[in-house]
Amino acid sequence: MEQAVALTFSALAMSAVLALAATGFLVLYQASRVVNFAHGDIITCGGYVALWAITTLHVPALLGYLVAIVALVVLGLVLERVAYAPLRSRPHVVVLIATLAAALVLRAILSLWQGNTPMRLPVLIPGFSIDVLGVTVNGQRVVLIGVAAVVLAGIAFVLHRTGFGRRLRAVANDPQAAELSGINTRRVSAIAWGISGGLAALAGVLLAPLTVLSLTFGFTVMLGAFAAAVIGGFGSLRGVVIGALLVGFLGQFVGGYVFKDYASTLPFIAMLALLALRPSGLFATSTERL
Amino acid sequence: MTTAQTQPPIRRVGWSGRDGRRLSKLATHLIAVAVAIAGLCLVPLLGLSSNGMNLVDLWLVYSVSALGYLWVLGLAGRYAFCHTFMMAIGGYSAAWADARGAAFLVALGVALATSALAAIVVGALMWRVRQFYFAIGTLAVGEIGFTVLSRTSEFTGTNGNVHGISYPSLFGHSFVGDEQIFYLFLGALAIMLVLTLLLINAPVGRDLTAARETPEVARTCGIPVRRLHFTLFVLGSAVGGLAGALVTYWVGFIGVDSFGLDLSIGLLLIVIMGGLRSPIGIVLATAFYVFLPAALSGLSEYMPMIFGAVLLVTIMLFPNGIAAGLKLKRRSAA
Repeated sequence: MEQAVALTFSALAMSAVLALAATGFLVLYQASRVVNFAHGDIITCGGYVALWAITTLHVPALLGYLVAIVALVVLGLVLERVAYAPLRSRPHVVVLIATLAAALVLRAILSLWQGNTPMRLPVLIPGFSIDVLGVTVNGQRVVLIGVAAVVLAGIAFVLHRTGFGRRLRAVANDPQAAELSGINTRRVSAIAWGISGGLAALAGVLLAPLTVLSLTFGFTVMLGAFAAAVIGGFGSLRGVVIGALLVGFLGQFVGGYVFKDYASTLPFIAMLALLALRPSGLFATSTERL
Repeated sequence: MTTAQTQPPIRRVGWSGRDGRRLSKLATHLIAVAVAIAGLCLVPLLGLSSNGMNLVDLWLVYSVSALGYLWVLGLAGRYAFCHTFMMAIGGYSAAWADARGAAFLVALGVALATSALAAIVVGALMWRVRQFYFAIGTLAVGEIGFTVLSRTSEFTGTNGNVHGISYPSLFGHSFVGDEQIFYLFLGALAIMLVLTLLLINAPVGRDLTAARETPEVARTCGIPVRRLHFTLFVLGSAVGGLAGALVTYWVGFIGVDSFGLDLSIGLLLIVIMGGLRSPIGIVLATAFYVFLPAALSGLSEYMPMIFGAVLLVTIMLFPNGIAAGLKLKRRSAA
């Protein structure tokens, strides 16, 4: 029983991170049709910027986290200007390889800046933990789950209840038609890059204290987020959340009880099974929505 | 003008009278390859340092693998990120066969068969999915594969490490040391270059061009686009497995890190730089990838950044590869 409670919280925390990461990835994909392979390294970057702010500038953890998020929103906007704008009219495959190249460069810069030693990011509230049914749950997990729930609800609100959300969904549906109806598609795509960077940073800073911050930290998260996004059909926010929950619980429960050694492969096996059986995702509809 | 547009596309089958230029191009390329290979035979006589000879061998065997990747990426147009995993499968199968007393050629055959089988499974699972799902899915295949290889001890050694693989030997001659391995690898590269040139310039190469440029039209003309691409994906992956087996025999050891993600990205860089349809460009790009870090040994921590920047610049300026880009420039200037 105790183990089940502990595993539930781990699974929820994992799902929350994956949902944040996958949503960042998807907002970008929907707004600009970019499959961003640099997303993982942007997540890593978020962790390192927060670490730098906390250890070098001696700011409190909360401020450090915020610095990272703001920095990554800016990085997203800069990447849009520098790397994506020149490639706008190129084939998708060219853009995909360009993001891979950007990932290489970003990781190399991080390695020069912070070295290869794995590090640990301080938790948001030191010493905070809660008791559930006699099990002590790490406070960072609770913070992570809460923040992710609030942020995802906020994103859902923005997408479905605001003008910007409507414009973004229009661009996702049909960029040409959106442009013809007077939507500034470039601005929508630029903002989407910013949002994507911010969500990546959020996922990075919230997860990093629970594990080890290294150069491949974000890449692992990105692979799990890929699995969640693919399972969710690469379109709707609801699909992403369900996909993330599936991947999180599958990894923790099946991995925690049965296949201990191979737990990290379970999300990918689920994803491959899904791709083989339903090539366009679990909740695929003919139109693409967010 | 209208009549030309309304004429149905006609697919030519086999060699035809209009293939004269194609044949003469193939002949020139084959002669060029023969001359280059003959020239390379002299390399061990140059008295390179042991480190230099080691790099030359690495260049040759990576070229073999990159040519296989060219079949997958350039000819079949599939962005597969499991090529290094195929190399690992080839390497482990060869090591497994060797430990059971199989001869070198038999072990190579086993490596070819297992990696082809793995590619068939991966392809069959994901052939209907969209292009970037395929990229993500094959990335996941690699992750699963490497985790499994590092955790099992049945097929691989403890934690995925296998030591003490015997020297490769052909027809009673053992290849010991980098100088002798060089000739073995050179032979493999020569075979691969000839096969790739034949593939590109033969009638099936024409079908492949059509299938890549206009898949719908090609399908209408009766070109079995999917089957062609699937076959090339499997064959190219098998070549990767062969290269993995060659590396394993050369080093005498295989571990999970032997064929990691860095090599995966390196191979992508090589094929993008070399050009999606230029085998000679691939060999030159492999030379760049293998020799540049050695030439700039003081800058080793900057290498990933240099490779990333080169990849970015190449894909932006010459999406068809540097060789093709220069050729196009020359033609438009003339």
